[in-house]
Amino acid sequence: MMYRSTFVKVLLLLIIATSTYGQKLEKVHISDPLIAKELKKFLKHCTKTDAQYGHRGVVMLTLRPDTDDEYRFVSLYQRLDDSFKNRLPPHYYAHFQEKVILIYDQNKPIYPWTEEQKNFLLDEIGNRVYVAQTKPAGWIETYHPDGSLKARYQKVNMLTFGGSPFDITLKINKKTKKVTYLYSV
Amino acid sequence: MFCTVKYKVKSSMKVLTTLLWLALASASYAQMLRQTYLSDTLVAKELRTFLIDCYKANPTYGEKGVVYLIYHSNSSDSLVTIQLYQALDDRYKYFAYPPASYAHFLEKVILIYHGFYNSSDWTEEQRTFLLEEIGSRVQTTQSRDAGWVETYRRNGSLKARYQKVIPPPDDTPFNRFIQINTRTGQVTVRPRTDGGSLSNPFASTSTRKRHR
Repeated sequence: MMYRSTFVKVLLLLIIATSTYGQKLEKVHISDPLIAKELKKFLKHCTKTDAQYGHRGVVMLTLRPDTDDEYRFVSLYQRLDDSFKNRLPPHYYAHFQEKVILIYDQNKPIYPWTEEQKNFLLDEIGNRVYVAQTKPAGWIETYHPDGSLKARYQKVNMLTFGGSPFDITLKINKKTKKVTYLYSV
Repeated sequence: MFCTVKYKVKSSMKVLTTLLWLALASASYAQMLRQTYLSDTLVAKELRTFLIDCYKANPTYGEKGVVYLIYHSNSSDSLVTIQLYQALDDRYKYFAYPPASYAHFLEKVILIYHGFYNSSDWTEEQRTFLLEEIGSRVQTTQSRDAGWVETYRRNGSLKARYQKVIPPPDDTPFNRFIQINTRTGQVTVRPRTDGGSLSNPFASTSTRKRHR
């Protein structure tokens, strides 16, 4: 009887442990030297362009679908806000050079967020990111030389075209390991 | 006699209504922030230079950011000290006092302070109004604690895990002090590189002559 009770307890603990594990995101260590080298370069480039990326920001690394025989594509973005919470969850996360890297693998199925996963990542990243802005564009006023109001209109958020140092795609030759950069457009 | 009483009641009703309207109007005026037009050509010129410098240092500041124009008190009447500061988040909403006034300038909203003191506290209307006026030009300030950092050994095993403390930003060129001598017309600009004290903002300076 006692043996049976212990067995049930162990089984119950195992079920609880599995469900907690299922809610957590898988942490990985970035061991691929090529990806680590490119990530290091990318982070350096972001900080050089805008110093606040040195301490702030979260990096999103996307492994594009592996459909090409010759090349594989990896995208890197860095953002200063927590807008990642409005996208689908990453498959893995990693710590790299004082940054949290969210890894999305487009060769794998996607599951929706759990609240635990979202809160865990938000706490892990902490105040490295701002809260994503939900307010619409602000207002602009222009004046005549005498100071009287000329026009008042809502500012239109400009879209940037032609690439950004915070958003690049790596084109990696599978055989030679040579990397070329495709900036976002 | 009856007619006179009726007239008196009507008249006092009118006075009461007018008084009520006046009280309401002054209450809404007190809740609104004062909007000003930057008519001082020298301040406008320095502000323009400041905005261009911020943009050159970081193009994000072209589209985003809110500007703080702070008038500091001076020992001499002929000296005017202003501080120009630009931030990408809405930290102003956590300040103890609202700005004394605000202005629109070159597609930016400028929050104007006289020191960091104001006679009145924030009202919810003022906070909401400014947030709407500035809109998505600023990010929302984060309330979460510092995030976590992990370092690893060469074999990939965990070496250390600690909370990351973000140091105060290196504000240059997004924070500068400008001293204007109204008598001689000399303008002295000092970018604040050391997070230095407000009492002695001109420890090391670069000077340029005011162009009239």
